[in-house]
Amino acid sequence: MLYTKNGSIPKPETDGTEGWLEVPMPPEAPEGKEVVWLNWEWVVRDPKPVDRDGYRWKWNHDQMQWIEYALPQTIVSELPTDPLPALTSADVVALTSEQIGAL
Amino acid sequence: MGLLSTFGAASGRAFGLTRLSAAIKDAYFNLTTLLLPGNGTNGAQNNTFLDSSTNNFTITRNGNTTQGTFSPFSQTGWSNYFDASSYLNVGTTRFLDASAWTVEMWVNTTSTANSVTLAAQYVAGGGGFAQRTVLGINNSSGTVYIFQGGTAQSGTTNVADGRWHHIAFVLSAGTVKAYVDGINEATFSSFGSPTAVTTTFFYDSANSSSYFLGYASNLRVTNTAVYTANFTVPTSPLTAITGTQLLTCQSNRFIDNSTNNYAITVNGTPSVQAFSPFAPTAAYSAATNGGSGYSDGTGDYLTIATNANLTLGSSDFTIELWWYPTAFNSDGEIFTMGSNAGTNRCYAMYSSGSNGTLAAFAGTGGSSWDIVSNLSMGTAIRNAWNHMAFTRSGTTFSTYLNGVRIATTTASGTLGSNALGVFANNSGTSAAPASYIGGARTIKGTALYTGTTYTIPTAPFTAVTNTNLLLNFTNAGITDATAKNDLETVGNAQISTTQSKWGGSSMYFDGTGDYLFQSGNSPQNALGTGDFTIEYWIYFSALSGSTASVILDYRPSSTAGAYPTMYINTSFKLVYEANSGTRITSSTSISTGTWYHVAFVRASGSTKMYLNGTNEGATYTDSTNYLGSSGRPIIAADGYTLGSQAMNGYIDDLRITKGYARYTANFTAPTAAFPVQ
Repeated sequence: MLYTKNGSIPKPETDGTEGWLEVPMPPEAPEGKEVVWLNWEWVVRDPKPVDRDGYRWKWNHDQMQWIEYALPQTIVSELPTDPLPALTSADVVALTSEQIGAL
Repeated sequence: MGLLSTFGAASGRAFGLTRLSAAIKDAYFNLTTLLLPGNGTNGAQNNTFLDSSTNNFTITRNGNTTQGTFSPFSQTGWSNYFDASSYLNVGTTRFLDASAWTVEMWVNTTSTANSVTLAAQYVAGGGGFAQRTVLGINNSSGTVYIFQGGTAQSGTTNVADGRWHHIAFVLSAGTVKAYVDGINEATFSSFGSPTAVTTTFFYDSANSSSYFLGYASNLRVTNTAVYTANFTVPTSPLTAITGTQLLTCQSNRFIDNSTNNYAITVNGTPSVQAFSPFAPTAAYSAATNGGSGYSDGTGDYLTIATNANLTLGSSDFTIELWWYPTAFNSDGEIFTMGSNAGTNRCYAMYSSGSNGTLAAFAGTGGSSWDIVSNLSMGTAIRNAWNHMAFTRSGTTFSTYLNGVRIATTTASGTLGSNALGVFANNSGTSAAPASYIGGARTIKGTALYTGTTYTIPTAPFTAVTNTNLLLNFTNAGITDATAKNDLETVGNAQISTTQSKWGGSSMYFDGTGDYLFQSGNSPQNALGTGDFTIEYWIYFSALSGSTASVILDYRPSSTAGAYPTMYINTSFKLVYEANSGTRITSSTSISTGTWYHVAFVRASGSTKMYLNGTNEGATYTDSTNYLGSSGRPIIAADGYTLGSQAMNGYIDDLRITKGYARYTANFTAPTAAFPVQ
């Protein structure tokens, strides 16, 4: 017998706290299949297909199948470079209008 | 603070643990951007969602929907993150016209590639430099400056070091003084009235490259000179003192907490972040701070099967949730019983188009919204928490956004009964854009909000009377104690009590497709150009002489460059790789069955590796501007080829500190778990 608490992956022992529930042993995985614990049940399924760049396979539990989705890839912090002249502390006292415009 | 002692290294810099009378605190917790203590129930993942109402409905997870500690009620305080196209303004309000004022805030700057603006006023129609007024940070020196009419005065401290700095500009008697961390660094005499048309914050409308890049927290503008001499910087969030005109960048959304209660205009895509200059007042607690669920908008959603106890029928009701969208790229159903386009339309909260327009619907369960159709709920703000509510009181249906009634209508009818979808409709289509939900609740029999306004909840939802569904998203097993990140436990990544360095458990990865994936909106995961410390305890069950074991990888898919990677190579050495090259290799061979403390530290442009507190390998001269990327860092597997070269073993107490080098010389490895506050 195995035990789960709040949906955790079933283990043969508990830690003695409240909330552990008995669950059945996992079934044997047929050739080429895998057995995983998902949504409070053992699921026999095909292994996840290999992701292509820009796509990700996701398990749809309601349909019991893998579905491939296109994913956005966002670089968070690639910053632009200021094409304008740098301003040093020595420069910033009494600038001309032209210099200020270049800031 | 009741400081009693400091835990430090045997040599070198203390690692920032201070013992208080009741709890051990980390003086640099406010720079800690990820902390995974690895404590929890044996076998726990982040994949099982719970209904905390008495109904205890079974919730089905589809796709990679995950949950974690990022929530509307962060214990860490708040800031706003500004990228290269973001700024705030308050209508046409001119804050700098007064004869005395103070503009103050904390900043954590990620770049000064451009001279950046913190506050500016200028003359409409390009009226010239003479009246242009800028309070900002210089691009090359990283010092603050005051500019007006062709003249500028600069400070001396480089504030662009990845750490928090308090900056104050104070006008009194025609002179502006700039203070950095309480010290007067620049004085501008003969400051004239700007006679401008508006004030912008974090951008100068007259200078297209002057966007502030980084985090700003607790921006306060007062019409008094708050500081007249050097001062001790406040250690807690600012309050609305006498004369406060604006108080913002300190909440879970873009609001003005001054009595003016100005509407903040959000330009570009700034974001609300659980990252602040302040030490938290307490450690993260699920009950106090809550959590969130996260969907990336593609195949991630939750469902609850049809149940008579779930339906709202003809009763009074309340449907409410916190929503933090990170994109507005499509129409989508956020919380729907049935589906918007189906023949089972019961109720829906819907976001449409590219601007977050919200609406509520109610139907009897047929093919039309025959009770309430498209009742406006206002417009959600991207990258901020939005509290949304839809209520029925008798025949009156009302919508609310952030405590304000948006619309009301009168109708009758019995709402239909069907399965419920969260982050999408109940068949997984019409998905909401990438977003967090920071708690959701339905109440059958009570309209919790009936007036024109209400006080927005300041704590996680609880099962008040008549609650028939309660989602608090607090059942994650692997959680971030800084409350900044929701992590996806991919494969069988789980909590394990088999091995533990501290706390009786750790994070276990079996080497076959297990890893942690970052969700959503965490720009602080980009390490930038400043100091940093990445450290963890690690225990390998197996190592391979033919395949590397990746521990932490910031690289996006198929992209190398300015991203660090840490792994054990096929010679069993610990390696630091960056900029497409091996930079540091340990002299010690790593063995299985042993706990090691590992630290990678960049201090003033030099990155070092420490193994059990001892510096190993070369020092990498490192000026890299380390970038961030969605879903990164990957923990326990490769990011370049996602999920490959997965490690087989355990990680405990993984901590990333941005902006601070915790170790600058050999040290005694930590002798206790890291503080969680």
